[in-house]
Amino acid sequence: MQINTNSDKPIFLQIAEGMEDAILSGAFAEESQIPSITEFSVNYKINPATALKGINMLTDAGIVYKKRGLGMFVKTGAVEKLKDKRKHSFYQNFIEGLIAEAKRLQISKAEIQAMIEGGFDK
Amino acid sequence: MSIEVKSITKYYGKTCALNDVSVTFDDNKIYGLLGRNGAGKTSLLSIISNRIFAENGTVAIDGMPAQENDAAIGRLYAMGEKTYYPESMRIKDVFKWTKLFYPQFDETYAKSLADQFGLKLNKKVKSLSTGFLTIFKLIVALSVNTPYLLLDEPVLGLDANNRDLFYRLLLEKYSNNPFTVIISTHLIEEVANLIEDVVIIKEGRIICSQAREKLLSDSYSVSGKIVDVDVYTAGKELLGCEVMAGFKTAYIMGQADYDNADGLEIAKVDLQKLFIQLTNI
Amino acid sequence: MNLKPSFQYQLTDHLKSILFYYIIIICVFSVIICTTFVTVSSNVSFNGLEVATLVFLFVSGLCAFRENFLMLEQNSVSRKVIFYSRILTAVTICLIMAIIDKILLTIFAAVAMSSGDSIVVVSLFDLIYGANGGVVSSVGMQLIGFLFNFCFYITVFAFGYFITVLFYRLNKPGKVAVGVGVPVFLCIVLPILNSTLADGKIGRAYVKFVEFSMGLSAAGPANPAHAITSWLVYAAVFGLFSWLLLRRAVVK
Repeated sequence: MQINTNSDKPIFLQIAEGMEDAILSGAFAEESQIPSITEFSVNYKINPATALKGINMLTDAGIVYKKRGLGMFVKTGAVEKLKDKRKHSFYQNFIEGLIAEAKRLQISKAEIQAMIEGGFDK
Repeated sequence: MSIEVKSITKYYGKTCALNDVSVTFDDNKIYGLLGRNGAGKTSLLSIISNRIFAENGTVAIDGMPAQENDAAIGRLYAMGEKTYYPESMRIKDVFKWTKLFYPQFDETYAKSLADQFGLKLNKKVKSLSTGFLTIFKLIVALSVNTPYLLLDEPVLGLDANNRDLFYRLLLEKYSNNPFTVIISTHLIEEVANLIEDVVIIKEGRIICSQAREKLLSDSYSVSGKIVDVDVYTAGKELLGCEVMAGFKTAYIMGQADYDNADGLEIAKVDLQKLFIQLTNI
Repeated sequence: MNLKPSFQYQLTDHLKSILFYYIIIICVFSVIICTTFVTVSSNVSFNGLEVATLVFLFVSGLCAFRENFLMLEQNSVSRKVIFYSRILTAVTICLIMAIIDKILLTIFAAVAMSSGDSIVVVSLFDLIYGANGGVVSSVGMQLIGFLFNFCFYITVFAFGYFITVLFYRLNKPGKVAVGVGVPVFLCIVLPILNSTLADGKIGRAYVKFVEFSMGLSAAGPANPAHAITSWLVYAAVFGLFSWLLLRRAVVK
């Protein structure tokens, strides 16, 4: 997980999305423990309040939960939930942009489909 | 619980170092006290810690007047650019005495930090290089366990590795057991993500005191052709501009107005850039 | 309240040099004893102990400010407490040294007696107030002698401290003005004035003042109580001035 301090994206959002990526990729399995606020803060040299804000986004979304005195854990079903969420935004984030750029470059629908198929086969 | 600075005015001869400064440092927050050289950062910290006197105004620590009040100033530890420990004293003796003056001083922790930084306890204060002098003072500061910690240029002369180690140690200590830290520095980029609140001081006046995130989200930059940018910025709170070959970047306070920004690029501003725009003469 | 650590710190700061001082004194006395055995010179007098202590205390007072002040300020001690702890330190140090001097003088005198009449050990107090320069023996006078030393020590210690605080507070031109001006005034201007305009009045007034404050008079017996009172008054005056300077001293 990388934090880019020069990015336009706020750091707490980068923390939340970075953890989502890590959970999706299986780096943190369901019911496994994720790093503590202190660890996030120390490793990325960010204010603990910032790290907390990022992790709270995941808590609010039901991705992770707190075990008293033990730390934060990935919720069962978190991966499914994240996949749903990501699929939902997939169209907005990628397809819309893809089509807009294709139109600017005058790439036809068929050409795009071919490209996608080619990309999948690689 | 806070340090409350009220209407502090400080003169050096005829030069006004602090002009009617009022600011509050709340508990358990990391503050960045930012200002250009000679802006008055050190003067402010010295007045808070009872080292110099202001002509006017008051400082209260947790509600107690701070001037010449042992109970109040005992709640803070101020690490300065200068070293005030006797030159011929050994590091381990400094630890020993500090423990007497600050009973909460954690000698075991201090020794473990000395080990991590590679500071030898048998060395005398006068034999330390600039970097190790800073390390030594930082170790005392990190081990002293007062509710308020004032750090004036805390990374003076430290190499990148030691700066990194210091920031990590500070954050570790802070997130395990929060306290108030006021960091005065000109290395803004390094502390930008560490601090929660920003206090910017310019020519002896506080020009900004608010949450870093709020400050950053309330400002942005617009770039594009000079004419377009000028049209866009009309009537907006302009902080400053940079012009390069017909291309202009303007720094603006407020929320971006995307509807009127055709052909312009709107971007977030980082703390260092914002600081430069705010404190430029 | 950081009174106790401040006191402890300043006391420790002095103890090492005091130890060195007494080691040297004992060595000097031993050398004198040995040389008298070898050379068999007659009537060597050892009477400089208190004066040596006074010089030592003056210098100690001079060295006792800057470093301590900065160290204590770094440790969040107020100037008020620095001053209180300074008084405690001064009283303790002077008391300890007055006691040690008394003991040493007694031992030296005993050693001198046993080694024959070639060495005479006389205390400063005996020298000034003793009948015919002889030894005062009554317990009451011994006690007064001890008090005399103790108060004299405190005065000199306080004087040294006052000078160093004064110089700390002065800016560069002020330091030069006082550092050059005062000696020039006392050693050149005043004597010239005395011998020309004042026709020796200043000199006589000064002698009178010293006689009065020391309780000495040409007519009648000497009165050490006068001297003790004078020392205490001077010490209080130096202390007061030191406080006035210290209470607005800044860390620099």
